[in-house]
Amino acid sequence: MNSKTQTFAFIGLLAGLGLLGTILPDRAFSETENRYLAKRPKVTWEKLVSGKLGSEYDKYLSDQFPGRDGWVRVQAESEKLFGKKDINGVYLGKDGYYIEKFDTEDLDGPVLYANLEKIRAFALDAAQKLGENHVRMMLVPSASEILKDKLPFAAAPYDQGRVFGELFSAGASDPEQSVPETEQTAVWVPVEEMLSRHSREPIYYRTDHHWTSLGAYYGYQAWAESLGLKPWEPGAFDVAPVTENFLGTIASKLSLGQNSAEPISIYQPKRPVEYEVFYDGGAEGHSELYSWSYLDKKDKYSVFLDGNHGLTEIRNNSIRQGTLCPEGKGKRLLIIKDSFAHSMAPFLANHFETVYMVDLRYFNMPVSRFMEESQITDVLVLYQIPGFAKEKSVANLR
Amino acid sequence: MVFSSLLFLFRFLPVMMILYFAAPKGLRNGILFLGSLIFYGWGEPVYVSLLLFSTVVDYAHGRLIGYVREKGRPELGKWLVASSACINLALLGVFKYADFFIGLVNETAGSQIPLPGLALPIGISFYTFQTMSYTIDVYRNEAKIQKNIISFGAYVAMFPQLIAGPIVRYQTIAEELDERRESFPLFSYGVRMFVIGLMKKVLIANPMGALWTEVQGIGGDERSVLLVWMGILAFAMQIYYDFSGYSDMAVGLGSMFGFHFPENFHYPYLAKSITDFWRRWHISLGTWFKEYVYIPLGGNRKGRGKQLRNILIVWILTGIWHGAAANFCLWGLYFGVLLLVEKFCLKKYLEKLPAWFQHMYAMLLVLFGWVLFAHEDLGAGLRFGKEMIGLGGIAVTSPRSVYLLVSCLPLFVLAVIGSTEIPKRIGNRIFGGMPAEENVQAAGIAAVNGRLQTGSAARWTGLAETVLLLAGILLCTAYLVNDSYNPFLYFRF
Repeated sequence: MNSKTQTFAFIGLLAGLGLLGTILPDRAFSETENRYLAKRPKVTWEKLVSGKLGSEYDKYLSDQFPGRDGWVRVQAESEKLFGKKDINGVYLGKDGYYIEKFDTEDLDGPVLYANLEKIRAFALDAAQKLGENHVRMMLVPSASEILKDKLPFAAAPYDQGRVFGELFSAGASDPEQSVPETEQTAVWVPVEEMLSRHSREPIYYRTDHHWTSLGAYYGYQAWAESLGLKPWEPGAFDVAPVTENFLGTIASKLSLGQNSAEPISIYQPKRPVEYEVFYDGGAEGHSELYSWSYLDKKDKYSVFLDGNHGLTEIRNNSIRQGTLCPEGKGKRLLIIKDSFAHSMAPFLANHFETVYMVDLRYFNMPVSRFMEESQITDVLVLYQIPGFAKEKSVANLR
Repeated sequence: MVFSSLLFLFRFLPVMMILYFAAPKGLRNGILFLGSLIFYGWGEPVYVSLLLFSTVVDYAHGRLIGYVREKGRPELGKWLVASSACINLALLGVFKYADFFIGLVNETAGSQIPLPGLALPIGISFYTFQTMSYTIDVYRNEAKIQKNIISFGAYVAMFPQLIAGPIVRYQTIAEELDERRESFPLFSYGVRMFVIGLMKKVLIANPMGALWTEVQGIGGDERSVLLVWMGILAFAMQIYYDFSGYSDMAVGLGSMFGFHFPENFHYPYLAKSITDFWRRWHISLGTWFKEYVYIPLGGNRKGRGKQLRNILIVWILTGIWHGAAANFCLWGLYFGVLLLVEKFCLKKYLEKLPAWFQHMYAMLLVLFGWVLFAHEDLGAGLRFGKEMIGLGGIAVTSPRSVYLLVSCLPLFVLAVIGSTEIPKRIGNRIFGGMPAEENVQAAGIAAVNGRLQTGSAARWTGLAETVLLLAGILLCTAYLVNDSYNPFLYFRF
């Protein structure tokens, strides 16, 4: 009797999955998605009456649904079958590239303009204090701007080059602030041009939003050239993968499996350099720029300088002792940055006696005071453009 | 609670079904009533009181009509109907229309009366119309008085149709409330309808809605004529698949519990005229207005002038039933006028034209209707309409529009095919013996039993159907687990 089978199959499926969800223990953290999952909401009278309990419970059910990662993948596969070229804000690019998708309305808003105004003013101010050749600004485009030939057919993401147009036209409208264009542009590192020139090389991760060490090396090269410095040749480093199992933040959005994993490579100077790294003003110095323990975790990109910290200090004892780069002696660089800087700072650390990295999200002291107290000689502002366009903490820059 | 949620599918529904079928017949209406209150109260804990109030009011009015009849004064029934209508319309007036009307008064008189700003109780337009239908049906002797308040409560609060219709008139299910036979064939028919409805909502309406939302947010040089057409087509598809999906789920759930709900949508985008469209779109609402407004006002029996007036009244009411705002009012009026034009002059010419032209004509007018419907801000709606006909000062196309077209084309094709009778024909050919919904409605269980074929071929197709339906549920589950865009469109109704 077909209708009987169908009836019991239907009730059985709903009741079975429902029961499984109540029996299975809740997970606190999702490695795949790299985030804390919703806990069973506490039932209170207020939440019940306001209807808030309902929405919290919905979130809880979806986060703790049995086999969550599998469902997310089924959904992604189904969208692919429907012919979608982007899923959960990720382009399914060519050659195994997963590229974050940014649209104009996502980025082009008041936060971006306020931030641009903020760092432009900061750059002018810093250039007056330290000298123009000691201040550099880098807004690094994300993969969708550079890896054009890896994008799906007809893809039309936000034109991140527009940011610079805004930047250089902004000052012109205000004659008080306006400065000769040459002076304005001089502090801006043409990193987009540099990356575009190397767009056929693996300069971005396939499953993560960051640039690879190679991409960071080109960023370093663009920075050095803009200052008239000679960057270290690639041959001066031992380049080796430290893991093959990296699945980045973009992989998490699609719950990609291990077969999409990729390596992380690092550049270690061939000649011996002595570093000492301090995090958040702590007393304990670390002799390496890399926190190897992260390689056993999900968040492997944090192997670079231990991930996010309010303040990171890298002392180059070789320079201090005069065995390396004599012109770097006594020079102290401040990097105001997001995590894109973590893989580039190791290159910069070979040119300065001390490099400070400040993450405005976790740093409470006014930057101007910190610069005076730490006798900063050089400044670099380094952000990835989409992150910068949404980063509210830039407003704290003073 | 909404049907397209994990909570409903994997907590509420299985518990409800197990309790319902484990209970003896006498308790089933009580379980349905109580379950429906939980279903409603989950999202609207405070407004459950309103639902109960409306239930008690119309239950009492029904009993009072019986009482005055017994006392030999049936003419008093008229006053009772009026009283019921006043109370229900007052509920609607306070909770749905107060802000709108006070706003209108403020604007025209320049007064500063403060707006009450009450949150709209979900489903209020559906259940007040249902309770009103009961008192009127009883008064007209089209239904028996319901003596059992639990059964009446089960009718009013019945969760399958509580929040998004169809509007089931009391007389339609009066008998089934007291005397119904749940059965496996009826249940499995319900499963089919429910899963089809769920897939319509989750797999087509939601992505279409996401596209529409995206198009609304695109401005500057990325906006184009191509883009706005894709946008309004996406909205048209979203609202059809969402609304008819909900109705299918309602019909399916009702069927599982032994009820026969009326069909609410009949391929509206196959319409050949606006008159035809409204025979196919939200049928239960049209029926309600015809039965309880148009005909009592005199319909077409009192001369052309009165008929004209009656049609316009019905359509303005239909408009603001969809939301308390000027654009909905105009939307109703727009269709009222179009219907009049068709009725009194266009019809005879239209029918002589080729079928494809009639479809194009109807579809274009419906699409422009959706522009009005979708924009509460009339200025924005006007701008959108201008952009569609190329007067908005935007390019014909843009790279972003082309990408969206490429990316969404398969979904559009699927949605267009799905809005025709093709999928049903294919389904009936493969799985056989499936009576059309209207036959189920007419012939009841007997027709459903008719699809029980014998022989091994039938068994295999039956099994294949079950597997496909379960796969459909699993696929929808994947979308729900992933927190995909999943809006509830009927907050304004």
